[in-house]
Amino acid sequence: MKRALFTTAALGWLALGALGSNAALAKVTNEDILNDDKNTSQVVTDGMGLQAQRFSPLNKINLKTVKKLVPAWTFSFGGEKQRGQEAQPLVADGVMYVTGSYSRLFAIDVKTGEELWQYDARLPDGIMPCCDVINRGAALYEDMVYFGTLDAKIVALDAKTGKVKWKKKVGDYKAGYSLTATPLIVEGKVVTGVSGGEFGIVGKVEARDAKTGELVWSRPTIEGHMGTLNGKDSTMTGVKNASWPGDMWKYGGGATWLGGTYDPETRQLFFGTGNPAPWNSHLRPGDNLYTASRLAIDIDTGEINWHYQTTPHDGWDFDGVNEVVSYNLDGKKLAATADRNGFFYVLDRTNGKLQNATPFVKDITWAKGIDLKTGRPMYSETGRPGNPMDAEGGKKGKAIFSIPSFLGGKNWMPMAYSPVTETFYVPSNEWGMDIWNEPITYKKGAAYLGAGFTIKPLFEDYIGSLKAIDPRTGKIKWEYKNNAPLWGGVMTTPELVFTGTPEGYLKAFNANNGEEVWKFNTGSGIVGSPITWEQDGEQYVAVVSGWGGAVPLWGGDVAKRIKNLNQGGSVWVFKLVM
Amino acid sequence: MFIQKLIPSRLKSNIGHGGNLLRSLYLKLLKPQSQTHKASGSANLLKGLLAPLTLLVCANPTPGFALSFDDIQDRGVISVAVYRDFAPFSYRENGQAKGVDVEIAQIIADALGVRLDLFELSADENVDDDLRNAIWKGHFLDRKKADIMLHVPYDNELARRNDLVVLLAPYYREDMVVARDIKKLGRDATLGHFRYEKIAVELDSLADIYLSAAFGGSIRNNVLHFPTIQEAADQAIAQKAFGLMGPRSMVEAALGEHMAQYDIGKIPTPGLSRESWLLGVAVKSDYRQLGYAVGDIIAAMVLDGRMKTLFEKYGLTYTPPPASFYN
Repeated sequence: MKRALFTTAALGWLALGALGSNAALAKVTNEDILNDDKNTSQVVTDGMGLQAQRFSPLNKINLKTVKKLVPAWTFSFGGEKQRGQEAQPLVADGVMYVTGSYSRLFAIDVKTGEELWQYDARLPDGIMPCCDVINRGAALYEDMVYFGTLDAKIVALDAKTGKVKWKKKVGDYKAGYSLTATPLIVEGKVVTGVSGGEFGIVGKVEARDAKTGELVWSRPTIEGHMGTLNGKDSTMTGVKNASWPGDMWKYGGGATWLGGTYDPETRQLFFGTGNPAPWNSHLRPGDNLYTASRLAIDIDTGEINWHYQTTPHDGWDFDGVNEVVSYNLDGKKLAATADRNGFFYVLDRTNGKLQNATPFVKDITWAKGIDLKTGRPMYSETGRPGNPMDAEGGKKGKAIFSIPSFLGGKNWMPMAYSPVTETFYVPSNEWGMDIWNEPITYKKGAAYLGAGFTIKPLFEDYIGSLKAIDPRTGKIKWEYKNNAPLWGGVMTTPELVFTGTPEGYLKAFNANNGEEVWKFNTGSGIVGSPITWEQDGEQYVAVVSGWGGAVPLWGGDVAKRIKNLNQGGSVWVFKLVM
Repeated sequence: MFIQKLIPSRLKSNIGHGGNLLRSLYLKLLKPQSQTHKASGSANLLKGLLAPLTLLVCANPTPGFALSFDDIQDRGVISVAVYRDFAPFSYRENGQAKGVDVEIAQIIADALGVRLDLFELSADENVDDDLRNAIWKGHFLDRKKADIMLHVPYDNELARRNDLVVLLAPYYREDMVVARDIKKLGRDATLGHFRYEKIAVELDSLADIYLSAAFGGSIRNNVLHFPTIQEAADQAIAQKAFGLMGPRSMVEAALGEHMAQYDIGKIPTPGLSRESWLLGVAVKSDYRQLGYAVGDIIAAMVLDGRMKTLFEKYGLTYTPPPASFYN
């Protein structure tokens, strides 16, 4: 009853339209979420639609008008926490919801750029997130806004006030778990993966009742672990010890740290899984299922419908977490994914069968190609890092140079698909790594056998490379080269492709030929994903700015190209000047 | 997700310090210096004897924000980094900080006549990271630093990679040992037995990597993994495994009163990259004076038997560093 009253009140206010009301009273329904790719007046999902095509049919900002794109307002996250802004904003009913680093969430009046409320998660002492302090965004459902925190909790806030409605632990931060991905909300369930850089975690996908936070089902990603449904054991993931030696499956890795996408047509979730543990592949002969894989999961039961493993028996830290984007072409229900390992895969999303796999970065060393019949990589004989026993007697092991580097041909940053140009726009990086066994290392005061590595650019003039890929052939139609590595998401419209650069620019390209047609410097590096929507007859574009993420933490030789980039934390909103 | 990797700290320090690539990188053992200390009661035992492992920093020294020796005296407090949840060296029991390293930290503070501020450090992926987080930069979440850190391996190569810290004052030697169940395996059992029997290890430790790779992988399927060595020992005590491999002090502390049922010692481990190492203290490279004062306090403890007594209080075998360090 209360809800009905609120809705009436909201309608009243909107009808008057004079109060300049910023209150987020209209509710985000399941229909809103399912239609997010078509409804251009709001952005209520990460990916601008559950299939995550990051395409908007809006075309007021186009090849002709884009030169007149100027800032409408900008908003600072404030404080000293100026680093690593990897979020995609959401816009609903006149309010922008955007997360900042260090587990912060802001609600902003989308007309004026004024803050409505801010929520700061209180993080415990001694927390040790592996990979910077980033957060990738929020989710909306009914009258609540959801996000994950660095101490591995999912928090549901009242969208109007920012007050906590419920909070649930997804994993134990002391055991190395964290949560940085955007939660996915489908049919009243909030679905999350889990992050964790430490050895010893096991990835999982979980669905909770979005209203109460109660667990509906849980699906571990490593074979041998038991799933649950409605509080009871459901089925075991895979077959115990089928592709793992000894008891290593117990701590096999496979973190689902980038979240997932959903395809309403086949009612499947698509989640990717991280690399296996321990990192040295010689210790764990076998495919190590389901690490470095894509999983298609039934939304109702949490059962795995199919899997596709991009890097069986991974030895390079090629996480298989990158997003699966559903699309239909030539009458087929397909899905595409661009992997860390440098290959662009097209799968039949009804059954996981490989349709095509082509390299999207240059000079890949670990595999000669992907066998389209078996779906397996053709490993290169000299491409695998060495066995730790070869580093006998305290001597440094032999280094191999491996392309791509462990940061991947493509990392977390999401690609976009345009049904107009029938093209994928993939943010990629051209780099390799020297990797060797390093016998003189220590962990918590004890001798250890680690791997040493140095990331190296392949070319003098660029690392970052935005590529337009024809999914029918895998051919690269055009390429934009960037000096620093690209680390931000891509968004596309009928004529344009938008993405940000670490140098601070938000750029627009001609979707057909890659010509750069507009740029604006936001003052700090862009590592987030842009969005676009329409309000009061005008088309808007927004992106967060704030350099950080994994590159400055792990950069190796890449450091020289990024050392002068400044940190920051702000939202920029653009529209056409009249 | 990111795996256990070693990042050359040289590169990290360059990132952290605006890309100063001019820092010279040769190893130099400092010439002994004689000096007087404010430290009360601590005889200057080390004059001309203790050689800190360090790199000489040739470029302009980075201005330090942690306290210098004089500041520590003035402020009346020293911050000492120890690992969090790290029995038997630094842990909490009913909220009370306990352990060998905690007591050493207290003795150092007492000898300097200052209050102890215990800096509990969550271990990062490797000691290079820990040195960055505790000593020269601070962790990126809060940027807090300690004046000194305990339980740091005293190692030439580690020192060479971490040019912003000085490693000094080794206070004991750690050995990789295997505890073997005497009733099940008899005395003097070799690793060969574990092709047929289970052996427990802490997950992702040197023992884990070694046993999973050694002898052509023939032990691999019998290695049982546990998140901590205590859980590994508990399974051995419960007769689910008949061996336990790890650093001696950790193995002994984890087996506790059940130690007598095990043969504990070094046994042939072909291909093991490290059989023993020294543990000591780290300070920031421009805090030499503090380093010398702490070195003197540690040396006195090693020489007058207090260190041995302290280890024995926690039920641990004490193995001193080689005599050449402290006589």
